[in-house]
Amino acid sequence: MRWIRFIVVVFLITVLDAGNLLNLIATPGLHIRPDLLLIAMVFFVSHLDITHAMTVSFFLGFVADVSGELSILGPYTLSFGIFGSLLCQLRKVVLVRRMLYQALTIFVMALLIRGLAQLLLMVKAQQAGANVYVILWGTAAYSAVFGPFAWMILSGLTDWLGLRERPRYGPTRIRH
Amino acid sequence: MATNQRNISRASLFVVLLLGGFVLLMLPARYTQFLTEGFHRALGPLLSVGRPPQVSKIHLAPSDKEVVSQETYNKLYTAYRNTYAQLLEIQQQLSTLQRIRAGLPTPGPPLVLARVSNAIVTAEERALLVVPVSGTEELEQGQYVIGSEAVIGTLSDVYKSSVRVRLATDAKHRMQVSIGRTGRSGYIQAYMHGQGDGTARIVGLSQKEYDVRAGDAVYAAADRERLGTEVIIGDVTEVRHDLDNPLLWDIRVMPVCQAERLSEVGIVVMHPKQEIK
Repeated sequence: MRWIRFIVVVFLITVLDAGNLLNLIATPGLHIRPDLLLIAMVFFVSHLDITHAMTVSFFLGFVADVSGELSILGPYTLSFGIFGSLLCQLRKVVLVRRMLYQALTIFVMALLIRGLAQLLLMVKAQQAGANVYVILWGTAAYSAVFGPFAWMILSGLTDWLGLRERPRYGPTRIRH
Repeated sequence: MATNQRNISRASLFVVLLLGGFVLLMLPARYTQFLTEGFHRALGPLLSVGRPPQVSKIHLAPSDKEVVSQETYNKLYTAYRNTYAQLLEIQQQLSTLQRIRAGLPTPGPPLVLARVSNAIVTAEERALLVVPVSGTEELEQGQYVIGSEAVIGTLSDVYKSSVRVRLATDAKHRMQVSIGRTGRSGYIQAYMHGQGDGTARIVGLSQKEYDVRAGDAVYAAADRERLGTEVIIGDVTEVRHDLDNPLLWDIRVMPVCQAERLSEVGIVVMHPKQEIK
């Protein structure tokens, strides 16, 4: 894993995720957009060993908190970290090579991660977003549809990032 | 052994990261907001590239403590709308009263606003039935009624919730008036009788002593008990010799205000028993 390049990629994804550029593909009305950081998290977790996957999960959650519109840190750090760590433990069960499975994994992870984050936000801020369920399901569905295409782009960067497609079974190998 | 140590290391790492996340969550927002604000401030130009959101990405809803049930909301909203309607009503009343007061020659006495419920215009009677907005406690017979900045008549009957205004043109109406003219100091005092045909008549003025011409103004005479200062009623339209007594004038007066068309009037209360709202 080449961490400097990883940071650059995460920075670009964060700017895209938090910026207005993604509004071009947002749904009108409720303004639902794909969750790029979440898609990236699922991608990286699928390509890294468990230790690195856990670290990257918490890190991407922290980035999601910082780039969010609320001045509250923690909800996304915890939910990305917990479910990212869980996903990397389930990699031997969940096959994420095929687009359909990628979409399903992103959909389920989006529901779990954003659901837990909303719950923690409610606990922390005593506040809940309006239309929270619609936005939750909508974002999960949109991320699932958009995810496999973003996955293809990220897959093109695997060698540059020092990642390698992990075999379904067998020991982890990381290119140094 | 190595695998076991690696597992422990992963578990420790997870616990440390989890604890870190909880610490972040527990930290008050005022200690962490510099990060989010710094991010958006530093990358503002970059983030603003593209189309601005048409709705806010995150809508904050009030907490449960700030939310009431639909039933309570409906009750409160109904009460709010009623209160708002009352406010508009009071504003309208104040506006009308101010308009009437502004038309008086001096800062006028307290006025009771009243709504005209019925206008009676017959050969026998010319009167208005009006409903005072603040009740009839302060009202009594003989008080002057002002409509459209001119005296239109006096109260003839006071009922429980309404009053009858006998117009100055009613055949049974009689009132003291002052005849004035621009450039002439002082008034000519006289009595004016309604004629029942929309006009009034002034008789009893000696032609030798009093100079009265068409176009002179006729005012309701000032009265300490009823009216603080002269207020216009109408204009002299015709001056001729009295057929019954050729030494006297027969003067016709046309009111300046068409009282039958009014919707609101003000009743002059010179000495209110309590403050009039």
